[in-house]
Amino acid sequence: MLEDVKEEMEKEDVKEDAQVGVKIEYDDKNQLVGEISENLSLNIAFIKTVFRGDKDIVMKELCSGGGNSFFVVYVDGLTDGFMVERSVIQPLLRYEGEWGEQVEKSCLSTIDFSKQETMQDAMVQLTSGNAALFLDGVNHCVTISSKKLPLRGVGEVQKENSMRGPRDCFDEGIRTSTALIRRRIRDTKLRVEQGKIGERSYTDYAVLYLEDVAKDSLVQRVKKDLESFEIDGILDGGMVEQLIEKKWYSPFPTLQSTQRPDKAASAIMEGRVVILFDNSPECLIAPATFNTFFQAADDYYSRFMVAGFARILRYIAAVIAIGFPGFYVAVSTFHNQVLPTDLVLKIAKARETVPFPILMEVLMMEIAFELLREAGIRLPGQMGNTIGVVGGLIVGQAAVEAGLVSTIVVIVVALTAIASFAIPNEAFAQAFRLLKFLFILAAGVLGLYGFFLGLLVLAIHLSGFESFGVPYMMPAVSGKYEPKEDKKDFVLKYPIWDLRKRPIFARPKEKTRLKKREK
Amino acid sequence: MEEKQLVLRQTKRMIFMELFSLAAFIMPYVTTLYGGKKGIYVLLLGLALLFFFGVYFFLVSNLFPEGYDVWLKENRDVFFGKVVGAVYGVRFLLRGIFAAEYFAALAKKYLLPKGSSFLILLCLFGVILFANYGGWVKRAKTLEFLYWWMVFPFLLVLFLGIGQISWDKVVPQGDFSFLSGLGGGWELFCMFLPCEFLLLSLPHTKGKGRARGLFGVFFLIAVFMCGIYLITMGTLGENLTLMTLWPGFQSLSFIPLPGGFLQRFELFLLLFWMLGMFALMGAYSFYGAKMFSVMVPKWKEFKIEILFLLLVLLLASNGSKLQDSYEVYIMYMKYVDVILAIILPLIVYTRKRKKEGQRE
Repeated sequence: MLEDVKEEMEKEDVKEDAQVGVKIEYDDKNQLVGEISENLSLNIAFIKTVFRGDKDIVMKELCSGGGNSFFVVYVDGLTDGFMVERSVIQPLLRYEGEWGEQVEKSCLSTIDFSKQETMQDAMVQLTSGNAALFLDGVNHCVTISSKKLPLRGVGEVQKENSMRGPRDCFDEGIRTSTALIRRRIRDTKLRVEQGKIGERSYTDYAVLYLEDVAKDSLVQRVKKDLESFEIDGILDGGMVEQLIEKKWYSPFPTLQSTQRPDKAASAIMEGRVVILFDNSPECLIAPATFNTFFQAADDYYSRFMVAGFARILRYIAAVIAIGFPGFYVAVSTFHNQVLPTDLVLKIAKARETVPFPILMEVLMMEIAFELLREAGIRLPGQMGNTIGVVGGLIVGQAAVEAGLVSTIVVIVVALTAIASFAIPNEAFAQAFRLLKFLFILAAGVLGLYGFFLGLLVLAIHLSGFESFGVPYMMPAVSGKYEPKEDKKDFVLKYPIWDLRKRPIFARPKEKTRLKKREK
Repeated sequence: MEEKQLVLRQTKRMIFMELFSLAAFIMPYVTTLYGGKKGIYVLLLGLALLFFFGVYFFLVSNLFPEGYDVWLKENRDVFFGKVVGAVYGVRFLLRGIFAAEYFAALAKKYLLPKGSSFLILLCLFGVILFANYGGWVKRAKTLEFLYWWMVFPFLLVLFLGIGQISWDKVVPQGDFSFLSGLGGGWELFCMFLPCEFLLLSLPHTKGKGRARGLFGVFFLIAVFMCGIYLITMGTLGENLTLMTLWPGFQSLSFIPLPGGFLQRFELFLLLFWMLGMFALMGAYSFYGAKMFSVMVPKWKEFKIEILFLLLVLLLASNGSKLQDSYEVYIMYMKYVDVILAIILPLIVYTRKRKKEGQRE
């Protein structure tokens, strides 16, 4: 039955192809097979066949002032039709000069165009938002950069807010994002290398780095990794992040993602590589270390004592986010002798009416909190807030009054939640939230011994972990590197005048980033 | 091909953790047993032996630039290499069994009174295997990271403990028998025998200033041992120190944490000390597997390590009394193991010279 349907569909395709008289072929990589012909009619037929039935494709065959035919095609909604009209069509309609390649040099009122030799290249440009111009008697086409993509525009940063510093953030357009970085680094050595990824989506990506600061090996590795797989489509950088990570089983990200152009620019100036994707409002930064996830943008804009204190707080928050519920379970179940007697009595009193063991109680509350968080994200803004209030306050209060959970556990879970939100990077904080459950279970089964073994496993995992060849726990685990300077921007952040050298990511000869100007 | 290149910082931290762990808690027992109130002399003799033999192992390790274990593996023949490999393997196995038994006894008493030694060790060995799976470099990186987690709490305790010392319990009184003290020093050196691992780790270490770096490690060990001795003797006194095999730990319960938010701070110290035992038992299984693999080169080292730890697990969780095990262990260490540790490298080096002579 299925075979019959398939056969019928194939017949239908052939019939349609026959109507316009061109047979379209694709190779095994889903690339259009076919050169651009000197015969304009053949090119038109080809394009009409490729886009048969597509109502968003605007195409027209016209005659120039000299009587030669040309054909313009673009995608409605992606292309600036007015610009095409003004810079391409009107000049051509008036053009009476020599026909052929000369047209590109003397007729078009734009400098941003390129030559395409194959139909595949031309169609990729076309679907990216550029207009394609085919001239009769010319065996290539010209694509004019005339994108007018539906974009949000540069908005205010949502996920990585800071008290001080710029507030703009990347949007879904890759060109906007590269511009935001170029605006911050005007050095001519900033390289913006672009490519396409995805066999069907042809998503644009850009690799940005400082030519003389980033290590060659790192740049090559990033590019190689990006080209190392074939996939239908890339809809967000997060997909690539997962594809190029070596240790897929780790909850910790090995690429740093950020919405902030200032953070990306800072990373580039440290010798790291930034990867931008079209349709993705975040960039990826390679390599990333455990420490880089604790660095907030305003750490470098505020006074060092304030920033240093905030940094320490974030590390403490990470410890609380991952371990506080587990620690509570271990201590209150197995080792309540470590706590002062008054506190033990208070815990016992608070648990008087609770019918569940502590492990169950904490697990239930943690899962309830995660549910609230998930629901809050999925619901529209105002309703999300309502869920927070209803769930957190009303249900929480009711649960305590009903004697289902103790007040202490509510405090533990709330403190853990607050701590997890103090970690500046969301993807990184998620790892802590996830691992928290393992620590609760380990502590519930083996007490402090299990809790500590859990910490040990985590330490082993993290110390052996690498991001693009750089130890993840740098500078605490530095291996062959000498991380003297990196220690100045670790848990404690030194004053900005003392951060004279770039971190370990940069080329050894390009370490200095700050020095006193010689008089 | 396994990556083997370590840096000096990693080797130093590894050797510190391996040396510190078992010795830290037993040391006051040994010093008091042999020296009574003059135990400090025993400790100093033990430390002198550590310095002396530390230098010895350092010098011998320089004679095997390709790696002691590598040379043994590459030059094994029907008898010599296999026997030496097996002897080393068995030695590390026996020492690993006692270390595991000691650890299990402490953990069971203070952390999991209702748990079994088997369960305690099974979990720990799982973690050790996870750490050692990545070979030299992963193990080194792990210990490089854990170093301060172990050292800092003990530094804090030494600092806080100074105020708790009753100096009259510590000041040496009466005559000191040098011969008896030397016996105690020798027994104490048995606890410091992990310095033997220098033979295996140093040839794979790059970096200048190795001699100075190792001297620094031994010096730090000496400082810590003296501190622990003073706190133990100064808080427990002679009689209480001899009551258990872990007086170094017991004395910690006399040190209050300022602020009073934790009543039993020593439980947490036990957990940090666990890092040292993790390093020590990890070393026994890691190096033990390397040595056994000289005997059975076709077996994967990690497979041997699993068998090694399984054997340790079964033998260490047999329920025997720790005190009895210690008596047997220390007799074996004093009269067999330490002698072998000193002689074997010389035998191997003589063999190496002979082989090189034959080649020339």
